Amino acid sequence: MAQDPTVPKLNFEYWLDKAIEWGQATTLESQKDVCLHLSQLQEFLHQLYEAIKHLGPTVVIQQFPLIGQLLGRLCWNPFVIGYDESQKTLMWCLCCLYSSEPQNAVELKANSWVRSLLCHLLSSSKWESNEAETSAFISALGYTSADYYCHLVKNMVVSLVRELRENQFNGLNIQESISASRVNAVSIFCVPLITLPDLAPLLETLLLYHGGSSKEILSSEFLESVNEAFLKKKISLPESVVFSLWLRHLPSLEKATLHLLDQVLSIQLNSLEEVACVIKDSLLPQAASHPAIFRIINEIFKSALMETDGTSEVLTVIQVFTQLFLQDHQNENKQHKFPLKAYFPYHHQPLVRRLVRRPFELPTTYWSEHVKHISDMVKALVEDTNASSLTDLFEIWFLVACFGEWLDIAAEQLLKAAVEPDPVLWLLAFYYCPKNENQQRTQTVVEAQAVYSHLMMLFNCADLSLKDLEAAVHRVMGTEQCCNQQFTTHLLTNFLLFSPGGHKIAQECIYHITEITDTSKEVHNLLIRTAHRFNHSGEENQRTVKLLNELLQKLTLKV
Amino acid sequence: MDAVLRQVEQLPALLAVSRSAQVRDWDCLTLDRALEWARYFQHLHHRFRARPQLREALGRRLRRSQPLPLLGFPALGRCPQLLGLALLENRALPPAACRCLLRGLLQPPGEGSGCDPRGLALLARRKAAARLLALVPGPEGQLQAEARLLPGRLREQGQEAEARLREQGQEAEAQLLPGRLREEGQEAEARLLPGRLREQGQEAEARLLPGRLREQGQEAEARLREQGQEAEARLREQGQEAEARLREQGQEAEARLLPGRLREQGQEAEARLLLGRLREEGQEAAEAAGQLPWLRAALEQLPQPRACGVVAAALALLPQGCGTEQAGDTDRAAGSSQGGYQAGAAGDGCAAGLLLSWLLGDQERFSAFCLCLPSSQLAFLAGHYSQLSRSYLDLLTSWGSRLVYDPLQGRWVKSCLDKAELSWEELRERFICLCQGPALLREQTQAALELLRTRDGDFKVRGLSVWTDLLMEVGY
Repeated sequence: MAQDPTVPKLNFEYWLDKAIEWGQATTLESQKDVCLHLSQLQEFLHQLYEAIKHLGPTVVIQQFPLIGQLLGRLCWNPFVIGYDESQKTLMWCLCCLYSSEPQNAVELKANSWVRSLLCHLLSSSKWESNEAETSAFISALGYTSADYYCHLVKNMVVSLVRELRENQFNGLNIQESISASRVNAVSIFCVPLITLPDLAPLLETLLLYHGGSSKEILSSEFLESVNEAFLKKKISLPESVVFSLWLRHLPSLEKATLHLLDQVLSIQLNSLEEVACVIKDSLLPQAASHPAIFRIINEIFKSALMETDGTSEVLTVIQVFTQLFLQDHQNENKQHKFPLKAYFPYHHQPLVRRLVRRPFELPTTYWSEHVKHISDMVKALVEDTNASSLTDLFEIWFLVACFGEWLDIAAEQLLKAAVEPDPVLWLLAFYYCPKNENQQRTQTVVEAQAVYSHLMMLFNCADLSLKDLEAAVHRVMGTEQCCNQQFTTHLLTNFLLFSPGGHKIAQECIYHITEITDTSKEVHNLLIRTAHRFNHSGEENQRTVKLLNELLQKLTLKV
Repeated sequence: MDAVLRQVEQLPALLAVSRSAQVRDWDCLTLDRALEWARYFQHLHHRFRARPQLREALGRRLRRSQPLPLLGFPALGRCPQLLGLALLENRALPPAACRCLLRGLLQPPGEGSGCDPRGLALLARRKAAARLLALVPGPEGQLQAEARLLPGRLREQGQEAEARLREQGQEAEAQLLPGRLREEGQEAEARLLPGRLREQGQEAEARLLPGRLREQGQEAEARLREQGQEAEARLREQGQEAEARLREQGQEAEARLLPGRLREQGQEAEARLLLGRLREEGQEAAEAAGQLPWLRAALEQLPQPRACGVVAAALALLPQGCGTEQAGDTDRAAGSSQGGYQAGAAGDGCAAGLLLSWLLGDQERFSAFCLCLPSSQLAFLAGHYSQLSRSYLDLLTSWGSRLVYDPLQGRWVKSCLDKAELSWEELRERFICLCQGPALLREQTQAALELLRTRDGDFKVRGLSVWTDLLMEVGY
């Protein structure tokens, strides 16, 4: 018969071969192989079901004459039946193969085959050796197999949990090697069952369980699957269990961090509070109270920055993450707290101590001095000839970037307070153009000084027009280096927000800049951060707050 | 309310019919109506479970309407499953009705609401979970030496099983081969025939030579259909064969690979269900005072050693307070266990009383119970149930007094070899376990032994009285 064009391309032979190869999965290798293929198989079963449903059993049977073999074999594989929703799809397939008006002996026999498979899946009946009596007994009590298996699974879970806990407390014993292989086996058998709620206590116990040896005792398939289910929110786990998972299995931690970045980058950010919610929800800042976890997360952040060439969204994630981590760290019980050095072991400690101060811990009047201290320290470090390798430079820059709030405050102080501008401008120049050599940086600072003094001249001007700002705007657009561009945009935006005359032309000016230079994302991020700070420390000038909200609304539509 | 009570009375009859050959006459309509009723009963359960008086009334009416009161109020809640699974297993149900049943039970996506949407998938999943967890090699404990060998042996067995499966797979494939060749031939033929007709512009040709062509096409199609049916038949047979073989292997593997755990946990699960039922009976059971006929009937469904194991597990669960949760209702709404049966200590005492009266009511049964359970478990139960400890000590006494001293071997031996009684070593172990129990039990055991020794003449030398020797063994 000619191939029906509507039959979807199904990888039938492949899965039949697999099912035969697996048998009932009695060897470790086949068990692991089943675990690796479970989600693909589920996908295939779904396609198969759709095919049977749309084409009818006859066509499908002609297309795949061995479908009975495949389904029969899968129904006897507890890994497949135990996995997620595979059992449901398999039963639907069987249901479709049952004919309501069997025409001949063959179809009758096929019907009976479908029924016995379903009985095998659902009841504790004659089909299994030790369950014949159970079936009679539970139905004599007026119960069904559903009641029985509910208790059976719970009992088995409880007994395994008890055994694992006892084993853990016994500590070292002679049986160690045996226990290790048993625990490993348990973890493999749990892979298909991870999302089954009855299993929760066993998952938790396993994840907190460490054998006597330093080698990982749980199978990597198990650890990966648990992490996956957790990230997809198919299961929830107590925090301590999640931390234990990430501590013992670094690929999971890496996946969790990348998952967080993906998540934040894929949504449209309307406020920093939103970002903070997503980040907190990931449990990563809480987990980072383990210094090892903190450092690994930061390494992943660093490579994400490298790969995205310092995208402002990634920077925002890093900054909010660091803030949340600090919050947790400061709230933690003194006794169990690790010293800061454990988290930043290779950095200049006095600088670390300055940076970790939260702005609200200091009086506002002290901010500019604090910024100046930071700038001086960074400058000394950067200009130190002993530490001038690119890696060192990057490490210093990354540390400063993690605490970006101080940079925003620095830029704000330039316009709001009487400060000595040079150190502040230098710090911002370093932040925006870290790759510059010393000479170049001096040049950047000189240019920034020009823009800054120009802006300061206009600061108290009540009646401003776009033309007055032309020089600064021109600098934003004229420069080829995008880092200089961002630097100047930052200064200009702050000028528009905080100068009395800037308000009138702010909309127009920002529209103009973002339109031509494609920096709307950066400006948006800057405004979001400013709004966040206003919410926390309060901004006395209501006009500025109003303008900020208007600008944000306009830009949100555009981004 | 009267109408509702009368409706509920019909439930036992409905379930009885669903298990009988009468379903032979059922069509889709009958089946849907039966499922409707089941859902209605479930609805009643949800509505009344938080109202003790109505619940009590419904339960009473249910119990009154059946010869052996198997079904109590909670049965209403699981009615769709009781009915659905009973019908699924009933081979008398005709195909059309069965198809309706499958749709109703499994509720494929987009086909309206069935009963209990996630119930059956969860059941299948749990059953697989039980099998998977049972695959964990058994706990070491007393079999430590064996356990050390276990992984190796398991692997061997696994490899064997795998090799066998592979062989059989190849066999099955070999059997399929001629068939497949034939099929391919047919396919090729088929491709030549209707394929060409179709490809070369069926319509145009058909218009020219309508009759003959159509006939030919129909013939070809008919042939193909026949072949398709044949293939289908073959495949289903193959499926069945493969399945049968797998089932056998599964049983074998289970028998070989899953020793203690599954049996033990299975018994405990059964024990929990048993306690659930006893609690459902609640007050009425207490009033019935004596044995419950259904309890005996249910336990008789199990082989004696298993029944003993289940009762022992149930008795062991009671002092732990494990029985208090509603059996079988655990993953339904919490309301049923909260507003439920005044379980608590009183209910548990009553349940224990019923189980003990079943156990102690028949000397032969009790003696089998004490023979098949391990001494530690018996000592645990004796420590918790004074009724049981008295009978146990009496039984041990009667076994002990039948041991005779063999002066040639210098030890106590059974007077009658094949009788189901304990040897000296076993007796000794049982007494040692009793003396390791709680203080009260220890004193009771010791007092009994001392009394027996006194009766035997109060000798303090070995080999004269079995009681003297036992006292020495337990350290007095």
